[in-house]
Amino acid sequence: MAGLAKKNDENVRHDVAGGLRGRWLDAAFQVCLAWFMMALTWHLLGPVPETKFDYFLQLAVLWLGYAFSIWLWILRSRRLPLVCIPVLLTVGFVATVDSARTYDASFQVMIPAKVRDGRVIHDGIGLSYALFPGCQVDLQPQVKRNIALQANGNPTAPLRLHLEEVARLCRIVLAPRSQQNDDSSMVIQLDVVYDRPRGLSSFVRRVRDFERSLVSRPKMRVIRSTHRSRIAGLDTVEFEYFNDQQKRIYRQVQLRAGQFMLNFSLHYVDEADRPHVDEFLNSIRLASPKGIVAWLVGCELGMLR
Amino acid sequence: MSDLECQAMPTPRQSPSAKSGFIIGPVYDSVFIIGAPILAVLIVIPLFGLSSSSLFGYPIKGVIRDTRQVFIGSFIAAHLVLVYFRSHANINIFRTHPFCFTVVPAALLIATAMSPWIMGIAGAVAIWWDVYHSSLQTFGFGRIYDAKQKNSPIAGRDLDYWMNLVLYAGPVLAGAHFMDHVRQSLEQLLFLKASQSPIGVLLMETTPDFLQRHQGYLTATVLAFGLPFAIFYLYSYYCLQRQGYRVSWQKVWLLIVTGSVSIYVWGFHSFLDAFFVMNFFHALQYFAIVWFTEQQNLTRIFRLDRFSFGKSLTLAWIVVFCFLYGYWAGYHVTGVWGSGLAVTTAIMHFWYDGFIWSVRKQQV
Repeated sequence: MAGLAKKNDENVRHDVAGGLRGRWLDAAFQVCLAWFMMALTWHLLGPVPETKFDYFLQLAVLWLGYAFSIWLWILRSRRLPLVCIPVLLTVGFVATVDSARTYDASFQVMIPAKVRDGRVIHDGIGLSYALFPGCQVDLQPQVKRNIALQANGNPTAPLRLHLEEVARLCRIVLAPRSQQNDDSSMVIQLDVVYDRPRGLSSFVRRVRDFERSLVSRPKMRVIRSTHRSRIAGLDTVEFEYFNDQQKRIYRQVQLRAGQFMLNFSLHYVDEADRPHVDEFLNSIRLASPKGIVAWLVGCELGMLR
Repeated sequence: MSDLECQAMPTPRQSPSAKSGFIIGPVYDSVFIIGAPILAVLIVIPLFGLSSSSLFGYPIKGVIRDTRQVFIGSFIAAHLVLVYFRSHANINIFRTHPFCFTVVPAALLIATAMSPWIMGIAGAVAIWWDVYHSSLQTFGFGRIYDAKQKNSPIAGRDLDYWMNLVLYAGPVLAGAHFMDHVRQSLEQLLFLKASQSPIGVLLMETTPDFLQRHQGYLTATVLAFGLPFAIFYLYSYYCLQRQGYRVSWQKVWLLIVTGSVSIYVWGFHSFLDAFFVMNFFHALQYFAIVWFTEQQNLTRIFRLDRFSFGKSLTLAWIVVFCFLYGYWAGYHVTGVWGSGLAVTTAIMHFWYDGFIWSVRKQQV
């Protein structure tokens, strides 16, 4: 151990700037590290700011603490070359931009969709789909607030989707085939959940759990359990079940959009409506380009990736 | 810390405890190494068993979370990242396997982020490697205690290896929670089933069904091997003692305590309780040994060796940093890159611990 300690003495530089200056630099590093740790704790565990300005300020404080810590630490290190400073700062910056982008997306998803040229366009999500002629459409987002926010949330804050909340973004009702039976209308609903799936298996697990929670209710019967599919070039996970009470077939199609899960719930009575459902799903399009530019610039160019 | 091979008899650090047979000292060892399993039971079981969960609900990021789970879960994940303070922050360790410390984690990170297959396989492997790795941590401590008694490094090595597997992994394989482990690991590959791939059906349906149907045989095999082996183990050590082997009572107590706690929690508690207890003491032991071996180096790394309060502040930085990582990895991480980093860190922890604690190379 003595030999080990001696070798470490040789290799871990702490006297690049010796004497008093070195001591001051070390003290400054401690201050910056404390700043960084506190900012990180605040960022990870503190309440999420309700405005973009507050959030970006939080990120700026975090990034500056990180940047100063990295700079002072590498400046006093013999092992790491100075080129590591811009590399690590860039890594931190990309992570910060990604966090900002995700936060911004929680506002963007709540932007009401528009109807243009017979299509519903969600600019915030970067998604569009066809609208059937003669249908009723409600594009006003409606959020089901989570319990913690019902107690502590600020009702005057801008509309934003919080973690584990569900918002209905669109509801389309297609007129019934027969005038005598109003219950035979086909309904399409788009919900968005802020759920942060970790990866593909995690995403599939959540859809499967959703399926289990639905079919555990009485008079529900699975027609097709959770499976992957590809609709309009997008990777989706879906399942289908029959509600015996309502005599309706439900098809739940889910897409992953960054930290959000988009759920198209399509339900209908008549099997003859199935082609309409397929037609609708095939009309889904990404409204914006993908790739590194979209990733960096964020929601303005679409969230789906 | 699976491979504390005792090729060199005396441990290099001649602490005052060396003569007493403890690694660090009677109190430190009793609390953080030998007694850690009991401490974990005393903390975790009452925390989850005796108190109402509503008392611990607290909103974090607008979501009400059970703070007990957050604390224990973060602590468990925290110890995974601690390995880097040994493997990368210690230049002498780093120089022994630079390829393993740079190229391999970078490649695994990219692979897990890019491929759901590799992410799934890595996640599934991590669950079982964790069980194996945890068994061998106790083995490693036992071998150090033997070395403290100046016993031959070969004497009883294989016996200890198998005994620790029996004591730690045995209850998992033979107990009621074996299928929980199987399901948890196969869930990492759930996307295969959703893709209707034949491998997915084989893994997600056929394999768990087969294992569940035949679990009784597995339990019988573990018992049929474990019980006679325990007798053989005691008899072998009795023979070794007659040949001059000096019994380390610290090792004896470590095995008794670890084995009893393992059987008690895996056999008589819920999966979550057992998982938390076993991983809590494992993490506590790991924090203890890393801090003991690396404190001087880390104090220098954190540029605190010139300050009188340097060691305390270094410990605080490490604990805070690791806990923040643990919370991030356990509750905050999202996306393929974040998840890839968390899985890579877990795999690297299990792997590195197999070769960064060699007493033979005077590394501990």
